[in-house]
Amino acid sequence: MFACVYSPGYDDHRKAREARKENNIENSASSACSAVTVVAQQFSPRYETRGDLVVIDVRGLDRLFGDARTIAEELRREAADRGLRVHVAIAATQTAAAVLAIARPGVVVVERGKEAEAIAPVSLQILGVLDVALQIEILKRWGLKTLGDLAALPADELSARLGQQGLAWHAMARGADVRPLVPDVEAERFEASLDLEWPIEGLEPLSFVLTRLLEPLSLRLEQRDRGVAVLHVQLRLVTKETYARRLELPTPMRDVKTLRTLALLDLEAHPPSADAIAIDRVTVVIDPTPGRVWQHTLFARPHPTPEQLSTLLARLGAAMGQDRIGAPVLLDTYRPGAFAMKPFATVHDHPAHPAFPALPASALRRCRQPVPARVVADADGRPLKITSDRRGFAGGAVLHTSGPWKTSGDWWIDGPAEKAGRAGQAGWDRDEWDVALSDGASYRVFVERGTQRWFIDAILD
Amino acid sequence: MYVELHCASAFSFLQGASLPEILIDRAAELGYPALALLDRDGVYGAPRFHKAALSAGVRPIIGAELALNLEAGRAGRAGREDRRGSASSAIPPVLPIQPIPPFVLPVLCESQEGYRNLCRLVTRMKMRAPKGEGALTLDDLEGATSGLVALVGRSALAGHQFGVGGLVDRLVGIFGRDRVYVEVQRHFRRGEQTDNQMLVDLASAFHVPVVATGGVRFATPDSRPLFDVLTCIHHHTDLARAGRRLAPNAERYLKPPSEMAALFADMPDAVARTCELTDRLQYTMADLGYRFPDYPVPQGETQATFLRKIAEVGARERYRPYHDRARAQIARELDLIEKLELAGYFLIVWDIVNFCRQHDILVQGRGSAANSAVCYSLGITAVDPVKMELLFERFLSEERGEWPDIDLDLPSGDRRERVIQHVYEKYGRLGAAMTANVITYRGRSAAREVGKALGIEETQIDRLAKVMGHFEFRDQHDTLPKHLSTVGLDLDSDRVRLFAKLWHEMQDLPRHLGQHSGGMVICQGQLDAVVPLENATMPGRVVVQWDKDDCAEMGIVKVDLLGLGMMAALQDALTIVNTRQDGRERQDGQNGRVDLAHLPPDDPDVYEMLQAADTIGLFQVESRAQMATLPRLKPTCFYDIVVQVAIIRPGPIVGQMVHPYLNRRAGREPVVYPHPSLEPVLKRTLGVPLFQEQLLRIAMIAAGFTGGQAEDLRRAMGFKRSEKRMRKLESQLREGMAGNGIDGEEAEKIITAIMSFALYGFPESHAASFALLAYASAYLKAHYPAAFYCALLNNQPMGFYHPSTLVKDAQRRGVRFHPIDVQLSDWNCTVEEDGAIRLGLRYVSGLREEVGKTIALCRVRFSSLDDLVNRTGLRRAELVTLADIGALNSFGYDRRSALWQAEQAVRPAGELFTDMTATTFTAEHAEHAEKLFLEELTSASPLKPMTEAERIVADYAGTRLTIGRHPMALRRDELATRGVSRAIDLRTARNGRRVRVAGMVITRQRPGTAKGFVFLTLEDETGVANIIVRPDLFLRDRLVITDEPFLLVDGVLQNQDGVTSVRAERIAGLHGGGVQDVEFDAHDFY
Repeated sequence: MFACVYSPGYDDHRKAREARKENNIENSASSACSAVTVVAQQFSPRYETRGDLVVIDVRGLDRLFGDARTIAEELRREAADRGLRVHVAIAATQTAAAVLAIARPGVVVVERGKEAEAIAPVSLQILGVLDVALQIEILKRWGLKTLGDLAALPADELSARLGQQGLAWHAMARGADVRPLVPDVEAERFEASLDLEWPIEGLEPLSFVLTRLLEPLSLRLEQRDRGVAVLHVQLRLVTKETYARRLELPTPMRDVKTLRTLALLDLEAHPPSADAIAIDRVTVVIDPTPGRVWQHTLFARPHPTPEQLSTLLARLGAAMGQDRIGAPVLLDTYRPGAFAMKPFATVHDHPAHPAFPALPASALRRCRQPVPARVVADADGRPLKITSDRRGFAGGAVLHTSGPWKTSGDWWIDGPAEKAGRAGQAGWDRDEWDVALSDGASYRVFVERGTQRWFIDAILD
Repeated sequence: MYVELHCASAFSFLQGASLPEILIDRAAELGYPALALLDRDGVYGAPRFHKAALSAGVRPIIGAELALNLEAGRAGRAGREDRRGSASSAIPPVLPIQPIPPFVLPVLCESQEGYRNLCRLVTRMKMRAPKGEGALTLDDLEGATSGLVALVGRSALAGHQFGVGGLVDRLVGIFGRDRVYVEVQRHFRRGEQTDNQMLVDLASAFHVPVVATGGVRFATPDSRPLFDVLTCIHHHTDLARAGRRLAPNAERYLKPPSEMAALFADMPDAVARTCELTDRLQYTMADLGYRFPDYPVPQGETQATFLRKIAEVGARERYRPYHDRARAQIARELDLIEKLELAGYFLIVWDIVNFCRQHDILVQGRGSAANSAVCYSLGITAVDPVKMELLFERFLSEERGEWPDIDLDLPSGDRRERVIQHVYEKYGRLGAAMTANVITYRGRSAAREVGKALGIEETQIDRLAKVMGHFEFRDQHDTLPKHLSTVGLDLDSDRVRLFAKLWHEMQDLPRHLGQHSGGMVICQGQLDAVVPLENATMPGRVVVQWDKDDCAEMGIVKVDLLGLGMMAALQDALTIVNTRQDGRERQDGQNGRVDLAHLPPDDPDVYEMLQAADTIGLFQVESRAQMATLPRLKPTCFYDIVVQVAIIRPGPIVGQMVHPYLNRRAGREPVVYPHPSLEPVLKRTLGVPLFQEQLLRIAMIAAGFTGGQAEDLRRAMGFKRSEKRMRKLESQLREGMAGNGIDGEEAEKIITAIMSFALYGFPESHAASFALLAYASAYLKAHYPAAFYCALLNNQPMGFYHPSTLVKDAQRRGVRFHPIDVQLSDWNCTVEEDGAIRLGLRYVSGLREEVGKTIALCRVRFSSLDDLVNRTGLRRAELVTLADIGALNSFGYDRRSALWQAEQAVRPAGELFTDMTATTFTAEHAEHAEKLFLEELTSASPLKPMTEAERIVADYAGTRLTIGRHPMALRRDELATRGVSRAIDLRTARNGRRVRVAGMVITRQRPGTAKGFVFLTLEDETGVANIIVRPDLFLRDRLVITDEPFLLVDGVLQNQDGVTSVRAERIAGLHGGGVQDVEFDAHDFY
């Protein structure tokens, strides 16, 4: 005997669940099970979720609740208590129960042996909901409209035309099951929580709490050959707010010390608001991933382990800011001095003969922020005298000039730099000059064509 | 002084951002005495550049940038050597061998020979590569550079390719030392000075001069953003990702000579040498060396005398009797043809027409050629210009000094292709080519490309592209800001403003080169020496790099070989009529062959049909607007059809000449003339100018213009209006009229008439040629309807209506149809012995043509479905469609049973039966199969037969038409209770009455001239109803009107002069009734 619970608004629940998954909060306790599944769990451990509906094996429940109708009513009541309006059907086969649950609102109970008769008037379209491979176009062309129409066809001839698949549809149209119930198995969760008797403040006491939570989790992970892919740390503050952090790890790991250090460094870089840092509950949730297989070699140069490197980067990130850690790379643009920071990657195999570019004859020390300058220029725009208020930049008459070199670009990014474009900058249009001053210094200076403002861009050594 | 010798236009296709005219205007403004155009791999923009330069007083210099690759042989050798080297030394190569990219060599034409060599080189490059690709090798240049000057720039510094100085050395060897220049450019980029210094040193080492150039890609610095956008399109990327493929600065603009002199102040010789080189480059495109081919004439004849003789013979055949007026006209024309040395042209067109006749391909000259009595005599045209009093000057005049333009209409499809291939064969692949069609960026394409380049979201781009010019009609609110706000973009935002600016700048820039629909140019000798040729996308086609206007401008003669669906339909219909055994369908009692040239004139049935607007399927007079005019115009003679063809055109409509003409014809208003002297010209059209020839004659009579001047006036008012030229001609017109005593209000009236009409006017000769086809189609429809509709159905798509509408119209005329049957149907529709049309397999949706033709060729009946599948290779989907539409019913099934059996027939047979293919089928097998089949037939299918509604739905799904009842007929009883009138009832209903009509939407129109009104045609089982939708109603119910296949319309009936239409007040979709699943796509004309 099977009961089937179908929530017409279930799609919305599912979408919400998918949205949560996209936002990586799938494993949070509140969203782990859908409401309909929770209803099923209240009645039997043997249930199967099939898209929009849940099929429950209700054999033996009559001793607990009474007859089939009572079970159905109980299911409906349980769902109503959880704010769900559901269709419930009970039949001797899963298929009949599923079909009737989808097609008929309210509660439907079918006597054993009358499944085919009960579902015969239902539209064929319903098979599409139950079987994604249904070739409804063929059946429509044959003029079939209801499950009864399909069930009335001779099975052997149908088999000759549509093969085993056709037989399966035929069986379903008669309300027969084409496969047994495959009960859902709940995914193992790696989650630990600790309610504190007294609120704690600061990272040091938190360190002990995290260790206590992570150690058993790490042990469980090891037993199942799993590593941590994402570490969620949720802190309930005394203000009843929950502060959550999510830490993605570069490689699967389960070393408690490393995990704790990374979590603490992350919290150090992103602390909860200053006026509410007392914590009275700490929860750690882990998104597991298959463990890492590590084989050392005699021929490769030893290098830091991912744990060490991650910890180092996390420390640097906490000190400098995450967007300022990495290796500088040149951008494909004519913008003078444009570069970006690329995250470090552990490269074990360097090319045998890297192609090094020829070194420039002279060094150019670029000012990270161009230094405003006062420039006296001739009618052609050639600088004659340069001075600056900035300490360390001497000024004087220009003895030699070279230029102008005109460069412009990103004209489609308008407005100030905070509007963001490539490298967070707006368009540029400037004339550059290399100048030798009377005080012996050589600079690269430029004038912004739009504003006619002069800047020292770099020092030529 | 400086002359710019390296300048590319937008005709470098995405590698230049300014049109040639803009570059010339800028050059003239800056005081350049000359300017060189070097587009990439061609001279695409040269004619426009040449023309603009001459009118601006700038000397045009022609050249091109040629893509050059390393010789294939050399690259191959290098690869082999590298491989050998690596094997011997056993050291793996450090870096893989990279393909060497092509480089660009700018060349300039010094003489006509140089120009010819350039054209030949480009042709060689293009003809051996797929469209849009190709590069020359240095070996290709050997011996082909006479008259060309090469500019070698930074590519000479690629030492890894050529060795140090290797390229200059090779080029000096190929071109000669005096025709190689080293070019230096300055764009204010770091590092370029080093390169320039190396170039100067190279020049000094090889004793070749240095010349300064600008490497111009756009006229002014403002165009740099547009250039960057074009670069993005070229590289299939967007601005954010293009990186250093974009321009580093905006310096590649046309700089003033003084600025260039200052820029190269340290190299004054390089600047001065531009003028020296300009003096050497004396070639202009004034003489391309083009000559039309000579026609081979018999010994002792010249082309002129031969033409006279055959024209004389032809005239005697055509004119019976050969009267004096015709004789005089022909003599006058022949004199002019001889004087202008055009006899060869007429003979060659005559030759093409003869080829068509000999190969049974229908042909008819159209356009202005129909004004010529010589063309009529030679059989090129079918309209007698003497009888019709057509104006010869519209075709040819001494003053214009242009080649005449003869357009030939041919049956579309294979027959036209045969004629084109004949011309290629006769004049050689390099002696004939199609004219190009320059595809330019317009509203939608520009929106898409600019949007992509700016990184606007794809969904927004799609919506933007859709709203940009979706409808032909543009009202005053149809502006860019409105379009932008429609898709949720705010014109106040910087990004959207930028989009709008770039979109605007991109309009009319060349996008790529297409192929003109039918224009062919042919040449005496090698056409590739006159204009570069290249492969078209279509196999077997070669195109020139210029469009038809440019060809005409450069004096290259074009013959248009245009495909006309109706010509093909007429020819097919005549074939059916003439090959049917006894012509039993014929009602005229004639037993001879029916010939298009000898149709009975003034057939009363034809005029009756036209007056009743029963014109579905007829040529040119079948549209909704034509049908609304025919009952008012009531044609009674051939000239009325000529007027009818010409009157529903933008010219007469915009010029508000339709109603005056119809009113005068109906006697509702008096016939008056703008001036008494114009009465002879306008008498035939009741004082209303309808034709271009009348415009010309008005100018000739009122203002004393010569024929040539009048034609100039017409052209000046054409699509590419020049204000300056217009003003000049207008003042000439006024002066002329004043000289003839016409001034004041009368003069203004005449000028207004000319101005408003000239833009869209229709030539009378052209209308007459079309009217002939319209008459022929009406004659065939009236007397041989089965053959006519059968031919129409075999030449779809063509015309205004969907085949399903044609079938219903034919059925209303009593034509019977037989369904598609795999045992009986051919690929095309056929007329059977009983006079009914058997639908062809071509109408089975999704049926492959080769399979359909195989079925048709199997004249031995198929014994079973298995036999059908085995012998033809039908796929499951095809067999199911055939079963669904009843094409398998001849096996003894109904449609559902056929579907039931079809599913079994196409299932894999399994290993036991894999050898039982058609080839191994023995008689024993066949007997057994037939026995099984008979058993199968006797076993009833468990499926219910289709209802009529289901059959109709299946017909539309499988063939897009039905020969059964109209879907509306199924609902008639129910609709009648709802007060819905039938289409046929509207004709007899009172004008102004409120009516309710319903039907299947067969056409939707929103013409540009209708001020936003939308016209729908609804079809039911009795005919069609015309619905007029106000703009506000359309905006309100747009989705219903454009998406619903069946509509229910409440409105007010307009029933005047035999024309009925319903002015809609409420429109709703019609659902239910079993036919809501009918899949039908109306013909939409937006």
